[in-house]
Amino acid sequence: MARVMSASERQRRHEHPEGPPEQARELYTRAHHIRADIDALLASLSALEQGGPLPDTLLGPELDTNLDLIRQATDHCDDVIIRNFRIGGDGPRAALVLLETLPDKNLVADAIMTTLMHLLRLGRPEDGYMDAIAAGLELSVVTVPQFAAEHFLGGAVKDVMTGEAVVLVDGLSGALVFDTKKWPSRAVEEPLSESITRGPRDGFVEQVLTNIGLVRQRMPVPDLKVRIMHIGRRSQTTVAILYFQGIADPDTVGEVQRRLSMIDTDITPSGGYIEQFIEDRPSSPFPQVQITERPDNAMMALAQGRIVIMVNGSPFALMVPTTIHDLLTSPEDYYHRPLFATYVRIVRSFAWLLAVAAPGLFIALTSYHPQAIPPDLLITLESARVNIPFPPFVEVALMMLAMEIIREGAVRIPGQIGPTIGIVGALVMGQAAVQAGILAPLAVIVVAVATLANYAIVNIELSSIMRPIQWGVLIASGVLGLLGFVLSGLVVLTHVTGLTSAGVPYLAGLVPAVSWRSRIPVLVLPAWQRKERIRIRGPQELVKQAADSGYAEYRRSHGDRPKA
Amino acid sequence: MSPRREQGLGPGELTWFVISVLAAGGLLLYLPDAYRLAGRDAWLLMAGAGLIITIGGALIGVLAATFPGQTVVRYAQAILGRPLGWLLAVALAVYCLVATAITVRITAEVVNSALLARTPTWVIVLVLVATSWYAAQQPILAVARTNVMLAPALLFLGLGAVLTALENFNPLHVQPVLTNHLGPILQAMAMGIAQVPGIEVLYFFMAHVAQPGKAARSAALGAAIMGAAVAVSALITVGVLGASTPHYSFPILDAVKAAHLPGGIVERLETLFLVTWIVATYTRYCTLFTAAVSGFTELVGIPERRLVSLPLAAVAVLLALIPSSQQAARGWAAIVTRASVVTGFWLALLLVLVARWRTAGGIKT
Repeated sequence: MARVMSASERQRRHEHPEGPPEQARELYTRAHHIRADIDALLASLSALEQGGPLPDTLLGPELDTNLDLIRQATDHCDDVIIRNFRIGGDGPRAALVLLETLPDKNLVADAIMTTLMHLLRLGRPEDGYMDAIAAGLELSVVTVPQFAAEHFLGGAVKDVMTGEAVVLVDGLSGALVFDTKKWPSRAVEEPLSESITRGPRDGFVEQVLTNIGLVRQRMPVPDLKVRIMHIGRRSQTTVAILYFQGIADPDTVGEVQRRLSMIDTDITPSGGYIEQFIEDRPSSPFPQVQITERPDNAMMALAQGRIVIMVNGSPFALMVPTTIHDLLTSPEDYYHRPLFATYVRIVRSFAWLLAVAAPGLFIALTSYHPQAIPPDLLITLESARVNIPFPPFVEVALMMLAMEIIREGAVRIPGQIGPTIGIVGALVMGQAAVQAGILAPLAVIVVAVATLANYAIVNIELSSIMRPIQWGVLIASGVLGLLGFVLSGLVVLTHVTGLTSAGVPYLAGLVPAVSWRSRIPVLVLPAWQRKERIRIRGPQELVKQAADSGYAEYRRSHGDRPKA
Repeated sequence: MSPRREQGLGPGELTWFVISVLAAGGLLLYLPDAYRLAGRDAWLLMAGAGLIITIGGALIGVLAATFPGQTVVRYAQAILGRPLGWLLAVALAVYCLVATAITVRITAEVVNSALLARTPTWVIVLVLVATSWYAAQQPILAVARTNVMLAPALLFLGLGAVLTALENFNPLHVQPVLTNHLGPILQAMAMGIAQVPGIEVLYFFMAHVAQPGKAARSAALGAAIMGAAVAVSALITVGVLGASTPHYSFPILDAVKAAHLPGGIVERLETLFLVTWIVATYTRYCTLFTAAVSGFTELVGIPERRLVSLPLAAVAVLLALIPSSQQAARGWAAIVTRASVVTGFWLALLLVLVARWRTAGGIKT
């Protein structure tokens, strides 16, 4: 869609409210006419250059012909409305084409129809003056914020399908397109997958523009760049790329844009779909793109020089580059007291290890290497297993399978009763299995602890992938004991070390280490000490705050810590 | 698809990498022969061996600094001429492959006797080679960085486990005698060097260092740390076991076995020690196999390492299964580890000297 009027033109018109002289008006009109032709020509040439046919059919001056073309293009689309009317009541014939569902009907009625039917007085227009008319309308008549001229049939139909109102006027080549989109959306609510105890409560929704707004209101500066593109031949899904100019690595920004522009697929229903196209190694089970529902998380990522990708229809924003540290970090780590946040991170890391390793280690030790277990504990374990008919491996595997079924079932059960059913199911089943002598109590405890530990992982994608890995470690331990347990862990470690996200090593911070602090990823420093961005992501501006900001300045000026 | 150039191993990472590749040998140091030859001075000779390994690491580092971004496949040809250099590179790649197979076999034997008595050796060999094959599929830096990740744990856990044996330490067992003849001393020292093989993988990995100018210092530091750790392990082992040291197959393990952790949390510490050793061995055989794959890929001129790694893995399995018994495998291992004295020290010295000589003579290398 060509823009109707440049900023300089608007400025000029603002400086001469009475309007330019008659000769200038004519020149201006002709210039617009030429520009429209050039735009159309350039589009056609571009298409021919790429080896394709002419991209589109040009809309001619005949209203009936144009309407026929639109009817053909939207055949069997019963939600398309065509409303005929006359401009100014008795002026040239015109038609409004729009969807019944997506546009804001009040805006259409008040700002477009009322204006065009009752306020505008337009004589018989000269053919090809659509841009001039559009310019005049935008300046002094139509109150819709976004407004443009369209010269191609395909473009006009696409505009209609996205919820915009298209007006065709008899005698004018092209169409007037009014931005009247009002896509259905739910209200901004607290994110479901990233609940926190301290911090903002708003979360992303399915509307990409709303999501951009949520970030923009937190960073109202022009350095926050928003690039919009459409992906999906049929879905034409709106995808927004957000980054901070001056901080984000331009190479990474370019690479992400390139990968997104290379996607040539039918539909892109969600961010998860796009994620698989842009990952460095899509075959890996580990997520190389971090997802978030939280605008504050996205804001922090942008400030670190990362790139945020938003996809219309998905409440999850994608963030790249991603390291394992990002996936194990919650935004609230930076809202709490540093000591407590460090403590929570240690607990979370321990939980992560437990989630992956607990069942496998239990099997390796009890089945193969009981000599490594202290005798008192071993006696307790063995006495609890006296009448159990299964070997430990089968016990744990059965319990894990039951847990997986309960977990999947609880997700599918509608409403609030899902978690309740899950808890009740687990409790009742576990208790019944122990009482029936099918499972040993310790096997139930180990699997329950591993399952709970899995929920302590912040990132839902990482948490999900831990479940199949848990099975892998379990099977390896069941087959080869401690050797299988250790080797499976080492293979996973080697795999993860080889991963990159947008060119940045997945374990950046640990290997390659950035500083001694980065080797201790659980450590959360006070905000006034976090002076630099993470170097490995290649931020253009490394220092993020002044050396003497806040408490650091206090210490410098007083020479020591403040007295209590 | 990487937007930025892949960064190489930093100087600190290289130090940890060297520690990790030497750790496997250091953890299960085989002292009996050295004790037979040098008696109480065995631990001193281990320290001397550590010094020689340090020099070997530094020499390979000097080559990396002289030929930045190149593996031995290219710089050996530049130094020694095309046919001789090519043959040398082939020999090194073959050595790495054979060393992989023998390391895998010895690991399988130890695992078989200490952890999985009823599992056939060939199953363990197959699993170990499969893991090394998987590691070789990853970028070479990933293998190196896995080692870097594990190195601190190996060093501190291994040393920690050895230090627990201090409760039975007798200082009288380690008082230096220094009365041996030079022949046995040199022989024992060569054995000491052979006990900690692995430095030769640097011929292939050093091409991926970020700062080649610092490579010699970093590699020497890693080797020196590991040499010191080996000397300390030998000191404690001899101090604990004394004159009975030659009667044990793995004296360090037996010295650790005699110790108990307070609280009875882990009644038999050797399991923890063996786990640490498995990790150390994994780093060693994966690194050796990756070096072999890297060498053959460059020699053959195939751009894709995957095409080379699978046939080489099959060869490694076959080689590992050739020794008919544990005793035969130990014989093979002795040959391979003795060869590492040549590859890890003498060869590096030769290449450095020839390179200097040719440069001094105005010959462009």
